[in-house]
Amino acid sequence: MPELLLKPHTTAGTAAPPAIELRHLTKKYGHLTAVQDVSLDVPAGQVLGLLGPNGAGKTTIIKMMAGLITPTAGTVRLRGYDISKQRSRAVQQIGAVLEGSRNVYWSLSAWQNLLYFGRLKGLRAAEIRPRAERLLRDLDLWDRRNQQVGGFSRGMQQKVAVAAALVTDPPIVLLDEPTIGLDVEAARTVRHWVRRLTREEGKTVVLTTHQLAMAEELAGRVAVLRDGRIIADLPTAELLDRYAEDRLEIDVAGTTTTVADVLGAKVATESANGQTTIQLPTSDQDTLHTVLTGLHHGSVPVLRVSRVRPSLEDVFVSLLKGEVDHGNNS
Amino acid sequence: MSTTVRAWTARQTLTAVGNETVKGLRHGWSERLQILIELPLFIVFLLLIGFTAGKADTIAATGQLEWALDRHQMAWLLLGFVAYAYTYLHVVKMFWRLLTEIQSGTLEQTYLSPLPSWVHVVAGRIVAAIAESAFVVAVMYAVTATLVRIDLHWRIDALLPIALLIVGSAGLAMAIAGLTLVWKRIPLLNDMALMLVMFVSGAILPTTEMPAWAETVAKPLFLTHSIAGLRTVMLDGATIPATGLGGLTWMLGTAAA
Repeated sequence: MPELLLKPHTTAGTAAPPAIELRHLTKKYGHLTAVQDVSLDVPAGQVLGLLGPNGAGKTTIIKMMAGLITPTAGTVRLRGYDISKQRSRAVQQIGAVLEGSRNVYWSLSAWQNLLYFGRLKGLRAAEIRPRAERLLRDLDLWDRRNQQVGGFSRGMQQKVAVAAALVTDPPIVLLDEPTIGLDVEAARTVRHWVRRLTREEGKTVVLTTHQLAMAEELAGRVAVLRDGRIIADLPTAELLDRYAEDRLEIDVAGTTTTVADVLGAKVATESANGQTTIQLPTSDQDTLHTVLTGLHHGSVPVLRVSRVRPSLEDVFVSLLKGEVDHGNNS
Repeated sequence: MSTTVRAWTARQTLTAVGNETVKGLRHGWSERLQILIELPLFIVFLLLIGFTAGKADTIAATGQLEWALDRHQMAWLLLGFVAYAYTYLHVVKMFWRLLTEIQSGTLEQTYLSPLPSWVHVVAGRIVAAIAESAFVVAVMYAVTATLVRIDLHWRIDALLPIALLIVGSAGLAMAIAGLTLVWKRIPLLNDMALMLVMFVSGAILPTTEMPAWAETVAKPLFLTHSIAGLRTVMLDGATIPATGLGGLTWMLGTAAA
């Protein structure tokens, strides 16, 4: 499916390297190939959603990015630093919240954890304190900063993990299933933070999640993995556009009855909150113009005409099943 | 994006070791109840051995145990047991903490440090384990010394077997910790090995009283020579010999190994 893949950029001659640069990344465990020939560039400030079913290789890629797993082949560069050859400098570029991990020490307090992880990354206490205070205040943990993390709720523990990953103000943040096991409120806080990290602080984020609505909301670009390979890698909007269906929706003011009075019962409609969505089974322009003319004559205000776009979840399922004819949709 | 790339200096490395040590001691503090339970157990075990060791014939003949401690025997026993307890605590604390960190995932987070792993995974944890273990054995010595008079020669050359005991224990702890990284079901092997070491190293029984095979097992153990060296200096008031059991050659060789 070559039309669903972005080509990694060639950085030679350009001023700034991509924040993350993966080249022909491969990881094999004996006969099992967990990740196969993955190449991608993530520009600074982008949120990349790394999606895939269980065992697709998402966590392996995240851990290779963090230098926790040595690739069988290929390279990882973080802001130009090769993780295998310049590990010390490369890991200073990242903060990570890893999947299925506590990530922080439960026997320590939130404040002690932040000081510990800040120092571990080479910061002095005087540099850590102001940022740790800001993070804990922003995450509503300041009043409980001196309590042991083991006594916190799961959501609060995850907030401490996020704060610990950010305490050194890293330009790249790796989030492996950051909302797994969190309640609605805690997951919302984490989502809010990811948005803030990119929009206000310009950080580059790699996010793996099974919650596709969250990926659609946060990720400007998604890469879908299957069996260790990237099968799609596009800006989220573009990917959704490519899977847009060959039919249209017209939003109008008024109820179903109003529309039926004008157009008759020949179109499917749905109403909610004083608005009605007319669903056309085709994108044929003649049909569209006929309906619009009818609405105009009936003085029904047209609010929006749009091509039906699937959710990211729909696209994800289609990609994994390989059911969609990409050539017709691109 | 204020992250700056820094070259690591010796000062920063020391700071990082200090950071890891403080974390280890905070762990220790959070486990203070466990340490408080461990302490009396060690002391009671030592005292029970002191009451019974070498008295089997009397007990068999009279059917009674005389609840008295021989101060010479206790001094001999205390040196051996304290050295063993130090090694045991060091290994066990390193092992369990590392295992906990592997299972909880915090170990991976520590690998995201720009420091070489020997600094944060090894050095800091060793320093913390040394501090905790040293505290426990110091209390053990203090309590025993209040119950029975212990005559020891506090000579500067005792620092040599002590230093080599610390190095050897750290080495053993790292070997066990390394095995933990690749084989997580190691507790049984660890416990068995430490139990064997207690019996063959001369901690509670003289190596001269042991069968030949036990002596063979004991010889390459750093603990055997550290204990023998400690007794030579602190009990006999003699100088550490160059060769033989507890000699300089064996001590340095086994500690280096």
